Amino acid sequence: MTSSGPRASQPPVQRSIVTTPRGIVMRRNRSAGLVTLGLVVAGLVASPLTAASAVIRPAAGAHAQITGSGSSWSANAVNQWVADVTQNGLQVVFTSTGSAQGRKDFTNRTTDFAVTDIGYQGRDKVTGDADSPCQDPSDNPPNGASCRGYAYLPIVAGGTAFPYQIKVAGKLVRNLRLSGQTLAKIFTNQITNWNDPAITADNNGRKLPSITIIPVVHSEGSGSTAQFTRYLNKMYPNIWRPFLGQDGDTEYYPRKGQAVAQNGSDGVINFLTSQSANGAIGYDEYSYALAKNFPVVKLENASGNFALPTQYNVAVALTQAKINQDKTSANYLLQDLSNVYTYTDKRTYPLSSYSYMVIPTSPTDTRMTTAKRQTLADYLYYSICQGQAEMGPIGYSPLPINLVQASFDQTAKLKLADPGVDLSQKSVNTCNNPTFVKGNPKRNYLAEIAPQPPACDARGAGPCSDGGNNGTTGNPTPKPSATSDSTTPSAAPTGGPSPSAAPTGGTTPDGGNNGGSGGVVNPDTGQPQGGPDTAGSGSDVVGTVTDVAAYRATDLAGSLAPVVVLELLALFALPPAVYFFWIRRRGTA
Amino acid sequence: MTMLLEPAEAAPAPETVIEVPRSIDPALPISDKVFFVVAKGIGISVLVIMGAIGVFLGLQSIPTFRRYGFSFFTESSWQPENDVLGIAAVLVGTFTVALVAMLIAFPLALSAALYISEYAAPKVKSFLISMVDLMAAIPSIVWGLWGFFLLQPKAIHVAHWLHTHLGWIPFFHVDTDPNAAPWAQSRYAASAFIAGIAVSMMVLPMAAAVMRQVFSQAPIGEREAALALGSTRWGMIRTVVLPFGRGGIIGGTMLSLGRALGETIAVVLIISPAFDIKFRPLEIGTSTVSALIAGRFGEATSAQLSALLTAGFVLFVITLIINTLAATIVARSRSGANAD
Repeated sequence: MTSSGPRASQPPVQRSIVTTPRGIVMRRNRSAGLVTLGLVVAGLVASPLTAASAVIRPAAGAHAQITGSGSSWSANAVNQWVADVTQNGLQVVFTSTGSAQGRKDFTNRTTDFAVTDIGYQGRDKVTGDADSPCQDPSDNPPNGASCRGYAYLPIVAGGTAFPYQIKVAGKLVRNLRLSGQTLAKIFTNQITNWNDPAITADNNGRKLPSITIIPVVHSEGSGSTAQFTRYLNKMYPNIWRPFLGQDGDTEYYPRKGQAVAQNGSDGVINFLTSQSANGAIGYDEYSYALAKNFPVVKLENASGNFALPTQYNVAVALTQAKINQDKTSANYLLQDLSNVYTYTDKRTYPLSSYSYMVIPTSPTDTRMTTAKRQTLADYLYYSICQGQAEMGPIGYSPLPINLVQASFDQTAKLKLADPGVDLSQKSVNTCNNPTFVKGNPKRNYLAEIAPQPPACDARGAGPCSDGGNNGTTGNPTPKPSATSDSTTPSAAPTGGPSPSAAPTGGTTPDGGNNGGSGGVVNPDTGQPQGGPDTAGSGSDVVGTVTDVAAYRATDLAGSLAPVVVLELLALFALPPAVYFFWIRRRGTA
Repeated sequence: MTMLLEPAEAAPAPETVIEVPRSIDPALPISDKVFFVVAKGIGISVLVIMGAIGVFLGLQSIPTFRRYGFSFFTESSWQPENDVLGIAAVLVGTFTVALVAMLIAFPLALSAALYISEYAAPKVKSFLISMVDLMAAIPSIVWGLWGFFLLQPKAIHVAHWLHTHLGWIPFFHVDTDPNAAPWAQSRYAASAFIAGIAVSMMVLPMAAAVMRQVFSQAPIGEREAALALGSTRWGMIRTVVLPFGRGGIIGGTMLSLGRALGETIAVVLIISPAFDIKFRPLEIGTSTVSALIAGRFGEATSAQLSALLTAGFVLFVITLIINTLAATIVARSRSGANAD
């Protein structure tokens, strides 16, 4: 039913550790309109199914198919769980349409749940339309039909990563490091070339070739855009606000200049990884880059270290997230990440965040039935409990125990709404969550065991020769490392971190920032040839393509153009003219 | 009937008989009446549905027109979240894609139609006709995927070649250096040019079918006359078939132009949305009305929905005008009025 034509467009973007038939997993489609259509169709078909299964199998816990839509940021996690619970007979259909549309679908009662990276935004600034299904989400709708009671619950953590494609001599650069400021300037079109001094400085003097930067942004209303712009707005208001033209974050990235907009996470990653996108950099959840085995930027944190969005670094960062603990608030459990951005732990990945599910909690919800609530509850229990264990390897980070507990409590609202929902035998203690420490819900084991970054990941050192070795390889737990698929050159340990591999002795250990002082000068361009790291470290940036002035097109091409036109015209016009002239002469003769 | 009977009763009185012709009213049998009513009803319902769509779109667009006024047609950016929106850029993009599509589809369709109707052997002919029809039956999503995954990596190089050699024409300009050592491939991707190629493949069969039909109706007497006067086959085509089929050529082209303007999903899959007014089809980024609606429909609030429907209304009106013109031209040419 759900495997109709258009959705086949999507290459699978997910490495699953549980292999299941994926027939029912609805895939992201680049057309929001089609997806909506699909949802409607799915909803129409679902209702008779509900009745049928309830009649046929009343004893089996009475499940029914539920549909949801929303964030593509967390879609890989949600779809992983969907695939897992399919084995248990739960039918869940998730379409990743972007957070904005997910919330809207939920409000319009087209879906049974929504997944969103940010909460409802309140009233529309322009039109005054309420973006929220209910002013007071915890209670029953005061005015019936126009309001749908809901509750937020966090489902997964993760880092908004910056996958990029920089090919030098046919090889992908895999160990790019950027500071938040450089990133802000790149995405506001202030830095437009990869050989910019700011990027060179971030990489400790290692200079990238002259390639135009193509920032790739989301064209749809996206939670990842919201997370990224919130970070920019908080940390670099002087760069961000003039670009946006106002104060604040947005779900709709204002595409300008050389930037390229793509629809949805898949659109972004497909563009980034395409053959033609040399020089592109985008933003999305880490899992998308991981699934494509594509490098992501090591982002500088407040301690001056460059970190990858691994499950450990995200867990460390999110220990500083301020969660709204006011149960009466409309934003109960939503996050305030300003302390995450500035956390000084060396392992912090600053752009970490939680993603949320919106569930319907009103007992009078016209779309929900007992069977649907039961399915939603069982799906949620799997997701936030056992499902968390497999999040690290696919690019997310598991929830800490306090949030798992809070999510359990939120799920219990489904039973409040409908006493027929069976929530027995659900307990936090049964979860195999890697963050848990038995008997101590305050601690986050994952953050405690997160490995310290190697010295070469600090500003002024390195760069590490391998993009993936941010201390995560060889971690003490038996869990597979999130970065195990990064290639590790065998020659790396000797060269990378050490500035002593510099071709000349003239540079100081942190002298990479002005690497040209004692370095080799490229005879063609007059540019200093890299920092202390370019020779002998196994680093990617060798064989820099340089533009030799003599071979470049000059403005002469422009001035010669009219001549070319004339020649072309003459080429096509002269022979027939001569021919007809000759014919005529012969005719008259 | 009683009205008709009255003069008959008055007639027999005097000798001077004024001969009144007997009224002939062959009443239709019931079955014919039913058929007539049903057929007429269906025919009218098409008009009613069409009109209802127009009225619905028109009503929906009233709030937008009231709010943005004429700037709706002159503003290029589409930022409903900032209360700034207009369809100048998307209209330009729509016509750019359609223009590229027609530039490619027209010569192909014309040659295909001519070959099928004039040159192909009878066996090959029926096969080719069904192949062209089959081409029209391919869903547009397939064309979109074809364009994105197969065509785009190749078309980039064509676009680069065009830019390198014809870049001094503004139409072929791309805002990058074509001679850079690693030329910026991505600047040529996701462009109106590539979307236009995909769309051209979709409108080609329609144009070819219309043209072929009109060509095949070229009067046989004049064909034979041309041949009898010693004309070659090409001479016959030039003097008889093409002048006779002029209306069909124009009409078929405009019909397919109407379809090219509204083509959605293939365009959505290929282009990278950008809201700039530019006539540079080779360069990355464009947007069309239908792609805008498809991309923004799902997440639109009611005000944004009204704006999108207004854009749809404009497209509806444009397409309606073009298709009506095309239909008129085709109909006229089929009646033979153009043949001289």
